[in-house]
Amino acid sequence: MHDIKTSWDKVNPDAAAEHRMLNEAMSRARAAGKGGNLMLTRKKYFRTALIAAALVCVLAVSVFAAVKLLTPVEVAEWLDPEIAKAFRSSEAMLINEAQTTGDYEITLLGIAPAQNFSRLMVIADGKPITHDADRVFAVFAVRRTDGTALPADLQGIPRFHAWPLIEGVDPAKHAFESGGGIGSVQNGVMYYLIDCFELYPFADRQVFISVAEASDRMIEPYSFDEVTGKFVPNPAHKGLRALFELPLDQSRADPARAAELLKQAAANS
Amino acid sequence: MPKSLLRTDKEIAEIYQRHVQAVYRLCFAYMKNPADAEDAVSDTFYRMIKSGPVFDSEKHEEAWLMRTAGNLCKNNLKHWWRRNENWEDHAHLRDNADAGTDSTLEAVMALPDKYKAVVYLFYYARYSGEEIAAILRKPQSTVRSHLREARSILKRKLGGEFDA
Repeated sequence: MHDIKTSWDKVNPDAAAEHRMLNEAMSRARAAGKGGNLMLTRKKYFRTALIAAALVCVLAVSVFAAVKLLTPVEVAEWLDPEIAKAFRSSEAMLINEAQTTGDYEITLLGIAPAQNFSRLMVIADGKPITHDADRVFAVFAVRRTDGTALPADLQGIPRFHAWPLIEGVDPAKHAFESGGGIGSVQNGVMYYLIDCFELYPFADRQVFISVAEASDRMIEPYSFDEVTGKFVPNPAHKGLRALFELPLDQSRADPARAAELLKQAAANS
Repeated sequence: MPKSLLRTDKEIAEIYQRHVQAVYRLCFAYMKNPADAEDAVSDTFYRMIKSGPVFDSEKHEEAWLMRTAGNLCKNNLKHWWRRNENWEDHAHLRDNADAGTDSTLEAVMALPDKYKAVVYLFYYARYSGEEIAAILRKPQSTVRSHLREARSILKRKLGGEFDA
């Protein structure tokens, strides 16, 4: 006999998760109320999406040696054809910047602006929260430096989170709508496609994407220096991390829109 | 009950303990994996702490949390990267939730999102149709038709042994 109540009884957060959820909610509220002196989170969508996305569509794993990384177009192609179109545009940039952290190499393969993404518009509470002019897509590859393939079930490998950082903007005091991402393993390499909702207006500043190992204690991999407005490695974060500066087209900067986004983000934090 | 801006940490923790499991289960029904369900739960309680709703009773408290959690989950699921996901993709995460390979739960998770909160509140939380309509701020007729349609899908998937 199928019984919904019995089935649902099996869905429970463990004690650690219960503690984590309450701690995060209260810490965010305190950070908002006290001006953000606690180091916490504005990047929920990114963190969320990558944890989930890491399990999406795991494909067959083969021997890693000599595997050529996919291009951003190829990655986007099997995730969403409309985004692949953006990576084929003249405004898309191939970057291929690799950074090594621990036993992993993380490569920023390329970025592309959104264009005519009506189907991919994100609507919350009945209002669009994405605007093509603001939106940047970035593709990353993560692989092991020793050449071994990432396992198909992703067991035993770190969970990476990604989120944008903007020069001069304290993330603890600004909760942007952010964005999300999706990932898949192909030929032993994890590929992530990251959707950043609100970056182009800040193109006249340094804009980064941090890719770092998740920490249960929510320790930020990079700290905001209130004096310089720069980001520096946080010694308390012991995991893997890499920081990539995005070469955004400065002509797309929009200070008025940036000010509006900052105001919204401050109110949301 | 006090307005939340004046609530102490202890009071917030008490509300959390009263409702966390129910909120988590509802979020899990939408998000289909523990990691995303956790984020939705903490976001829900963050909204409660920040916006400071006044609750008349524990029932009202629960109704507010359920409605907020459901809305947050639905907003998250509108993102394109969510639309690319499906329940089978999360086998590994699902197992972490200790949900095993329960066919009933899988069938519920696979329901269209518009039915999930109604099914959860009716079959699990044991609310009446009238109460669900009040919680979700939907007409009773909509709640009834969602229940009927969801039941029909579940019966089709689970066969005659489905125990409504």
